[in-house]
Amino acid sequence: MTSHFWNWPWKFKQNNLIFLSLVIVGFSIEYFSGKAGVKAPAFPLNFYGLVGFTIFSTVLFYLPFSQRYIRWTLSFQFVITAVTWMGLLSVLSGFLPQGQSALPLFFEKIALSSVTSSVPYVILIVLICQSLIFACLKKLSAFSFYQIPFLLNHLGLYIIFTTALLGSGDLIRLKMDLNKGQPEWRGYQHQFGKKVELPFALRLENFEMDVYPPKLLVVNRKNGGILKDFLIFPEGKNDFLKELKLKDWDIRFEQFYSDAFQVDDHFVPVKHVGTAPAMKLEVTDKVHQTKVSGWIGSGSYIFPAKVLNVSDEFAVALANPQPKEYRSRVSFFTPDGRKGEFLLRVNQPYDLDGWKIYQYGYDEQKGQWSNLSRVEVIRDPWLPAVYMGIYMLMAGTLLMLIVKRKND
Amino acid sequence: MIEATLYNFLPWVTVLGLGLSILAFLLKFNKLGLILNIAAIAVLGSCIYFLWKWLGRPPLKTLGETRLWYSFFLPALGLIIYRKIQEKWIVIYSSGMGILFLMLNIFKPDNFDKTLMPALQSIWFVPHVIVYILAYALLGVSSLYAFIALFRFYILKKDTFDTTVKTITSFVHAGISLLTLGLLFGALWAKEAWGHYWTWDPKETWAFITWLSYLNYLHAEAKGEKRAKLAVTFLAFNFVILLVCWFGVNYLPTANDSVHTYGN
Repeated sequence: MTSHFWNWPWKFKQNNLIFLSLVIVGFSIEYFSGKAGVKAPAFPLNFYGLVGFTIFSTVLFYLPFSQRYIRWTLSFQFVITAVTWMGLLSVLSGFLPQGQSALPLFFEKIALSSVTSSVPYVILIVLICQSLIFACLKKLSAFSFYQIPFLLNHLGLYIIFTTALLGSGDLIRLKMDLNKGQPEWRGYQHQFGKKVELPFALRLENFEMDVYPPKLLVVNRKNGGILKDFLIFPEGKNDFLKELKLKDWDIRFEQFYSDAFQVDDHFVPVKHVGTAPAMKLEVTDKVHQTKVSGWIGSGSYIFPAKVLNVSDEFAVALANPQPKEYRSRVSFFTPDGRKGEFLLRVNQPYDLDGWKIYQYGYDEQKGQWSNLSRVEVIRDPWLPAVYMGIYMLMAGTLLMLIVKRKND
Repeated sequence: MIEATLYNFLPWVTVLGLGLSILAFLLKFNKLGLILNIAAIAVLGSCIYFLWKWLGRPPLKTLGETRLWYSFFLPALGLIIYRKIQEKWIVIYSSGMGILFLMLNIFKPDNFDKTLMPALQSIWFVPHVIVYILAYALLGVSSLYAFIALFRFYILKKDTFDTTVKTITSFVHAGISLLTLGLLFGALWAKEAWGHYWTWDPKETWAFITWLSYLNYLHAEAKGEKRAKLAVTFLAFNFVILLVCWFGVNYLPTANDSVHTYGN
């Protein structure tokens, strides 16, 4: 019998050719369809899709005429090739800027700025999912306890891929700008885009921020660039440093106010909206043999920052204090008359009627005096399914760590 | 003063200890080398402990701080492998790597930044980063073996692929398990902090690519002696991908889009 390129067994050459063709076909579909990327359908279609795909793959596994296909997707070369091509496409996503308007129009048309939701990527995921479920079915036919880590890992990954991909059809992620005292019931995806009505209203009652003490900056007077920054509050002490000895300068700190208002060229300590940190210091320039003394302030949205010029080249300034923690006190109202209040913190979202509300940001111009709280509201009904996959994969991974393998 | 001790003096003592240890091993004073190595690692361990206390937060935020942990775990792992196989060059190599990362810290220091931004104040912060550092250390040590096996094959014409795989397989498995856990911890943390468990942030994307590359190793290794050369080749190549994920992301065109760049 003459040897033929497509005779079984298929090696890496054949597999790579198939995957290359699939990827080319995928990008061509992207180009001709005009729509960049694949969007999963909403419920119930995505659910039927998941159930249908799983049942179809299971049936396919046992039918006689599909055995060659099964054998191929379970082959070593298939797995390596598929994983490698998925890696290659992901590299494109990791290299090229992603998102809208990130790349020239042609690249956007063939979904190179949204690789991970593109047709070729989805084709790869579908094939890999088939392989995963076939591998599980094969192991199940000769079940033993040693196979539990394998099953957890492969089935877990299958569940993560399918539920994350299909679940995205029901995922809603919107941002809301809550201005103090004003109820807001609309969310948006893009700042100047369409606003979407939500089944609840939120009102910011109060926004609070705790800040770290500001840093001292050495600034280049010609271009405003920051050369170095220094901490002026040593760890564990509530009092500021009294002096800082640098290579060319000796700095003596005389006074610090965490909240002050500028009056002429000095500062008055006041706790009021729009005040900012200020520091009185004296800088001795050892190189030029000069000494300057005065106030510096971080400035706020009400008055500009104040710097102290030390020489023709350099000045000292006070940086804006960095946020330590910020939180919003928010009231909510629902159409059926319920209302309540909650405290929203970063890393601590709030659950409301199947929506999760996250502290996202604030008015950074005003900093700690912000009257705006930015929140993100998310509805992800498929999340428990994805989590199930994640925990299965974690369990399989931990078992791999702890349990010795049969052939160790 | 305390900054100079933590960021200069103690690391230098560690570098000296590791360096003398390497010298002792090369001159065949193995026992002395072992003692010096353990002492150096202990000094670095105490340095990390005092740094943690001084900063008031886990020293895991900046690149320099993660290098410190790498310099700790890598020689420590080298010692564990040495105990198993009694080959001194693994201690020499892992100590050398430890010295390299410590020198990087000494000559290219981070700013002494004590601030921990709100998003990092989470119970997931420490497990996510520690698990990744451990994984990187394990996979780094294993990749050393891989490079040596490839060197032996192509330059010395000796096939040691099967024995290499058998020697380091438990370390690679541990490394890959930790890599998987790190990825999943990151996803669970992302859900709590940023609203979604996966956003294809460049660091996430490269972490995923790194994870995929080690899947290739696992499947090749499962095939035994037949695919030992491929497995070892994957191991060596994957480490490059790992380095891109660890350091390279900050220099790629997509760096600005990442939530992982603020720490550096």
